[in-house]
Formats: sequence, C-alpha cells, structure tokens
Amino acid sequence: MIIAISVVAFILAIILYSCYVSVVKNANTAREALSGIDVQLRKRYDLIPNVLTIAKKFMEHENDLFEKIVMLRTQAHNCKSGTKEKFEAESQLDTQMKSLMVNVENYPQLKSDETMLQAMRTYNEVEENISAARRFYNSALTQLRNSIQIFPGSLFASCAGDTSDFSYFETDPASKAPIDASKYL
Amino acid sequence: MSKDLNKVQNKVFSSEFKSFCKKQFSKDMKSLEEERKKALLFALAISLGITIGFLSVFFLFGEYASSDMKNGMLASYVFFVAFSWIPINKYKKKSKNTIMPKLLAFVGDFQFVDTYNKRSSIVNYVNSLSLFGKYNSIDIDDVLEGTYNNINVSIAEICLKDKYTNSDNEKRESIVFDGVLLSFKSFKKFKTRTVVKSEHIKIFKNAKQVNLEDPDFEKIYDVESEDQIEARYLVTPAFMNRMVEYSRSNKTGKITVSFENENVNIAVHSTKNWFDVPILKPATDVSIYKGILFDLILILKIIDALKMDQNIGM
Repeated sequence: MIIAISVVAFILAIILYSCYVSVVKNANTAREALSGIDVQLRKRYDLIPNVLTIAKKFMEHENDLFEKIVMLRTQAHNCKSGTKEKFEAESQLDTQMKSLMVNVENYPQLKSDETMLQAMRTYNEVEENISAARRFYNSALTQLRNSIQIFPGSLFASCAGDTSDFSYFETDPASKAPIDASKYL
Repeated sequence: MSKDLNKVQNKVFSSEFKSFCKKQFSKDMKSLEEERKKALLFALAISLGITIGFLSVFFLFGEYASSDMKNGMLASYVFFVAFSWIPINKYKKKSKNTIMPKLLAFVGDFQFVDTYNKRSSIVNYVNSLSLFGKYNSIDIDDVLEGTYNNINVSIAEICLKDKYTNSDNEKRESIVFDGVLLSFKSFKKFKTRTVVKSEHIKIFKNAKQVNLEDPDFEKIYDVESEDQIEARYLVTPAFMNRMVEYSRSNKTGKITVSFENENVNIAVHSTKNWFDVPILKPATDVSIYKGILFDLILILKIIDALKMDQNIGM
C-alpha cells in the first residue's frame, strides 16, 4: 500500500514539476520574444533620423510630418516594452513613416536619390523584421497564456513572473479600415 | 524579360513546335538516330554475348568453381554489362548537348553541365545543406544551370543513400533522398538556417521548432530554424499560403525548402527519372525533347508558385 502511494506521489510530483518547467520556459520565451521586438525597434529608431536627414534636403514643405515623427519616436522609445501604450505609439509611428514614404513619390529628385532609395530599402527590411519579431512574440505569448491558464499549469502561474503587462500586438484600427482605391487612382 | 511558363508550355505542346523541331534540327536528329541505333546494337550485342558466355562457363565449370571464383565472375559480368552501356550514355549526353541548348532557350539560357567535372563542387554544396537526413553516398545524374527571370538557377538530379552494414554483416542501403535539388540566390538576406519540411523529424543541430500561425500550413509542413525571428522573416503568412497552395496543386512531388548559404534550396522528392532521353525512342521523336522541356518547366514553376523570382518582401 505504502509503495503504491509512493509511486503515485512520485508520478504526480514529476507531472507537477514538468508543468512548472513548461510555465517557466514559456515565460522566458515570451520575454525573449519581447526583447527580440525591442532589438528590431532599436534598428528602426536608429534608422529614422537618417531617413529624415536625407528627406529634409528635398522635402521642404513636410515639416509638420517630420516633427510628428520625431515626437512619436521619442514617445515610443520611452514607453515600457510589451505594453499596449508602446504598441500604440509604435503603430502611430509606423503610420506616419508610411505616409512619409508615400509623400516621397511627390518629390522626383528625392525618389531617384540613391541614398534615399537605399534608406527606404533598409527601412522596409527592418519593418519586415519587426513584423517577424511581433509574430514570434504573439506565438510565444499564446503558448505562455495557454500554459498558465490551463490546469495544472494554472497552479504555477505566479512562477511566470509579472505577466499582466504582456499584451498581444494588434494592428491599429486605421489599417483594418477598407481602402478607398479611388484616392490613389 | 520575364518568361511566362504557361505560354512556353502551350508553345511546346502545340503542333508548330513539332514542325519547328523537324525543320531546325532534322540533320542533328538524323545523326543522333544513327548513333542511337549503333549504341543500342552495341549494348545488346555485348550484353547478349557476355550473358551467353558466362552462362556457358557456369554450366560447364560451375560445380568446380569456388564461391570466390563465382563472385569474381559475377563482378566481371556486371562490369562488362556496364561497359556495354558507355555508348548509350554517350548518345544521351550528345543528345542533351546538341539539340537541347537551343530548345532550352524557350525557357531561359539553360544548359546541361558536365557532371563529371562539376561533381566535387556539387557534392560539397549538397553536403553543406541541412535539407537532408543522414547519408553517405551521392549519385548525381543530370545537372542544369541557367538564368530564369534574371535569377541564376542550378538544378541537380540527385540520389542520396545511406549505405550501412547490418548486424548480420550484410551490406544494405536506404534511399534518403531521390529527386531534384533546385538552388538560387535569395532576395532576402539571412544569417542562420531555416528549413521547411513535410516530415516531422529533426534534421540539423541547434535547430528549434518554429510554431507558425497558419493551421493549414502547420498540418502539412514543419519549420525548423536556428533563429525564431529570422524564420518568421522568411516564412511570412503570404509564403505559407503559397506553400499550402502549391502542396494542394502538387505536380512534382512533395517539396522541402531550406534557406541557407545565402540561397533558397528546394528539394523536390520524386523518384521520376527527370530530364531523361529514353534509348528505346528514336532520336527523331520530338516527344523526347518535349519531355525534357516539360520537366524543366515543372521545376521552374515552383519558383513561380512560391513567387521566389520577385523581390516583394513576402
């Protein structure tokens, strides 16, 4: 009888321990994914001043847009990573940068400038990397949430550390709105 | 200028193609046909002669011969039969090097490469890839190189085997991969290795499973990478969608894709004999050349289907 109880207790201990390990691992992966986004965003922060410096030479009537981008860059940079505020600021910065790229079309000299072209290519590459990092983060966060919300992993939710600040990256409502093609034709 | 493979395919299967071939290559075809007949006759004569010779020796002296002698005779028989195939291989090679370069121009500036001279570089390249499981022998059949829609493409028909000796000391081999390896430079830059495969086996060290968002894609493929972010940078939702679409309309066999050595490498798993010149068909039969062109079109269509020839960032 004692042996049977010991065996059951031992198996139970192993199950609980593997749940604990999985929760801690998932929490660390989510943090790693979050820092992955920060690394990519850092690249974007570094690139924005370069893009603006080149653009300013040719785009004399876009000072409002430049100021807005600089302000949003500072705001996004100062927000705590993984928070909704940070994602919102990033999303707004992204929208403004996109409108800058669209406005470049109105300046033929700038459009054909080799340094600007290179900067735009690099910017697009960084954007693709940011999007990849966000997808990794969302996937890691789903795994973490599943592991701490489903029993018996929920018993170890506190071992994952403070996860209240983790939120999914979602696109801003403006980008979900239907596009009026006639504006561009 | 970009090529529309569907248009090329329609052209190849039109009646004009046959008359075009007959008109352009009638002289080459006739001389090849002469060579084919000679090669076939030579192979048949040698094989038949050697078979009759060896069978007679076996019947007359078989009971006096030791097992070592019998094995030696069998080995020399195989050697002579293989020798009789030399003219056939020569004919196949000549056929690919005289008529095919002009016909391959329909698709791009492709040409068959001498596999004997290029063997070591191909072997080194295949060995550097993480696409395949464990193997210790590489057979290289046809190799084509050329440009398609401004991308330099290499196509190699290879067979990878794992040769081993089992516990009963018997030599065995298992085929690890049989098919076509397609390689070309990637538009996207990457530093680590990422493999998209349809088997759920781990094939390279330091690789981690990448869980992706598309459930349809996840059902068919498995992604392994050394870098989770880079894997998602390469395997975008649009790319996953294209992979699923390709898998559904599969015309070649299942595919495995790897991003490494700055290249995209696509392994097409298929036991079909690609780019083959059948010895029993007359060299004047246009369907031989159609078949080779069609094989090339099928392979290049993978690039089109996955939109690998466009720098669209997706």
